Amino acid sequence: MKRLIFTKLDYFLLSFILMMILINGSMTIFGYLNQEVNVLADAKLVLYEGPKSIKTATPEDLKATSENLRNFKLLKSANTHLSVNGVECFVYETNVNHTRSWVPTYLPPISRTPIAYFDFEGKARLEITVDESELTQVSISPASYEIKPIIDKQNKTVTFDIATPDVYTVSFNGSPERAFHIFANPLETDLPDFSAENVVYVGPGEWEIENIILKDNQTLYLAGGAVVHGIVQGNFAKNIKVMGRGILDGSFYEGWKGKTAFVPLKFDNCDQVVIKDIIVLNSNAWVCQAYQSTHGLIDGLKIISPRPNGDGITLQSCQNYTVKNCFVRSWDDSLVVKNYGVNTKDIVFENCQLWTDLAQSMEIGYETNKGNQPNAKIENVTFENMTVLNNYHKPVISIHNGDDASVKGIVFKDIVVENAQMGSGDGDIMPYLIDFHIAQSSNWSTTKERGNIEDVLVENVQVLSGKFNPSRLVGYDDQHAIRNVTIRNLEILGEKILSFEQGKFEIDASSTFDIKFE
Amino acid sequence: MNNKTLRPFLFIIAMICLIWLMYNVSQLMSDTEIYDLPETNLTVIRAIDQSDVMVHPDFVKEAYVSQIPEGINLSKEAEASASSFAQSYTPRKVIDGKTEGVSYWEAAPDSYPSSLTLDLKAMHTIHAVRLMLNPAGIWSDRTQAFSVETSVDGLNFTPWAEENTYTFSPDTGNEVVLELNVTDAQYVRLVFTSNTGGSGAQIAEFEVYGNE
Repeated sequence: MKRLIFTKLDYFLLSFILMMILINGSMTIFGYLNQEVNVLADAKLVLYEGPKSIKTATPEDLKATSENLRNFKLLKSANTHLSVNGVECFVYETNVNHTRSWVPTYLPPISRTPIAYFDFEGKARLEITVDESELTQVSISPASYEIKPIIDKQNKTVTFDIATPDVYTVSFNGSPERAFHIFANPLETDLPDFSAENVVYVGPGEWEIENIILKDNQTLYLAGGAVVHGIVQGNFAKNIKVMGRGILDGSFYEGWKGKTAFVPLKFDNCDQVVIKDIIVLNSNAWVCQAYQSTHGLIDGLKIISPRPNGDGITLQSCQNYTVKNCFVRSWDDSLVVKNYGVNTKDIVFENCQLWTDLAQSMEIGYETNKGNQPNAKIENVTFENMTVLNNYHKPVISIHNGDDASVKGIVFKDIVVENAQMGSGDGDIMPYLIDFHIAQSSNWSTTKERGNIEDVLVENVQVLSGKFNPSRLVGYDDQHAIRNVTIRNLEILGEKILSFEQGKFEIDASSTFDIKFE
Repeated sequence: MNNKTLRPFLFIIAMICLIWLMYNVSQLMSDTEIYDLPETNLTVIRAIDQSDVMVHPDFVKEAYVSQIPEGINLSKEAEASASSFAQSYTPRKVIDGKTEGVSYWEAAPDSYPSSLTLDLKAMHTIHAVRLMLNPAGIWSDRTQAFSVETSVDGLNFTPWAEENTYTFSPDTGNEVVLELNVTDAQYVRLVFTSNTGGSGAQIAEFEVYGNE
């Protein structure tokens, strides 16, 4: 075999080929690693400009103080920015409350937190920039998505991709303060016919509307980009719909302070009311109320309430109601079922995210018969597939029978508590994870007689982080007792709970019967 | 095989590598443009021009002027009673001069016929009745059916206005004014048989007009 003699040209060609292989190889690998990024080009995105009249928050506006001592209005954020697929998204500054005790003056210190919303399909890359804080740690809820953001400490940016429309909460440096709530909605479908006579349309802009009272068969559409200062209510009406991407804001009202409540969504004695998707902020008291209403649907509603008695969704004496896909951050009970008049029956809460700054997350009671009706009952109430991002105060799962009603057929199933901090502030009087209690309450009881609690299932409850809180099952006496309760598959801080002792349960043997642990 | 036969192959491989490089560069260029979403895939809902919050013109209501009958409002000195009441909505609230908040009478749920009676404390010559609910818009439109009766002794009542259906609307101050035949009485009674806006009959203020 002849020996090959390479000329300079051959050496050049060989080195060129080698270099090309190296360069192209690394570019191919780089391209492969970044192929997810390419998917963004196929994404669809809808952004909503904020009203031009909304002022930009100053550092003074962000101070935690009483609503009387600073500007309480909805503002534009100056120090938190969001880009979605490289396009800037409007960020609002809304009020939240980190106080962990009831304030009798109705004037607790109130802080601010950023929120933003957009619609998308496919994939979205979110880049958050925070101007003033130092970034040491970032977490994104719900934890089930296991999102691991890219954190650029120098430029103070947090980047991550999402593929599922949902509410994402970004918390910084292990603190609830300045947590960024991002409402990443699906694209809008099933829009109403805006030219139809029964459709009330409110377009983009900041609007003052004293009230919108909906009548039979009317649909209110609150467009994305709209901020309405006002309330929406219905009374003895049927087949009403409230929908859209807009914001209903109560920041221009004073807090109710036990006097005049302007409830932003109040539907009393109604049938077939549908509330979909809108955002409700800064209510002067409780937020979404239905009283003696039937066949209702609340779907995708987003609530953040900072002021005293700011219950999220309160269903009073309702029947056949479904609440699903909602986000509720509240400074009082997040979801609550009571009897103020007729009996409550067939209520389902599913797939909601809750952040309870004060009081209970999922509560039945205390008022189980405020209307003092004969044979009062609360029956068939289910809370299923719920994520409690934070609870800082009172029980996550609770039945408090403060009147003489029979509370029966209650299910709490597939509940994840991401951060259990029950017992903070004056919540230390009832720092429970699960609390079933029959008692006379000086604050809440109406009837002289006591009721009972029976047939309750608590299944698949997981506490991921925070405290190992105790639980309580205490009836009133052997005639007014808690009967037939099953607690199945409870896990607290990674520990499978196999007995009441291990789960720190306080159980009163004289007023509880047939209590099972599985 | 010598280097002369190998060289064309080397040229061909080098060319392939160049094409591969151009392909990769074009891919990289397209990657760097991904943030510029195709126009069709990005929708921005624009804000309207405004420097301050605006009253929405579609929801502005015309101002309403209350219709106050002539004569003296005799209910200021009266005492109110009712066939029933719900929760804290007691009958005395119809003579407290207030229509706001919880200051109204409501009969027990579905307790029709429900009556609300004013004792004027003395015989008067009377000619009109003004009934009110909270004029705030959150008190949406409702109709109530009722009749008006009078009595001199509080026991035997005679019709003053036959039963009729009346609309209470916040657009018209949520008030109903009845100008009736002049009569003498100490007691005036409303007898309700329906209310489309409440579980029981509701009145926030019950005024009777007449002479001293």
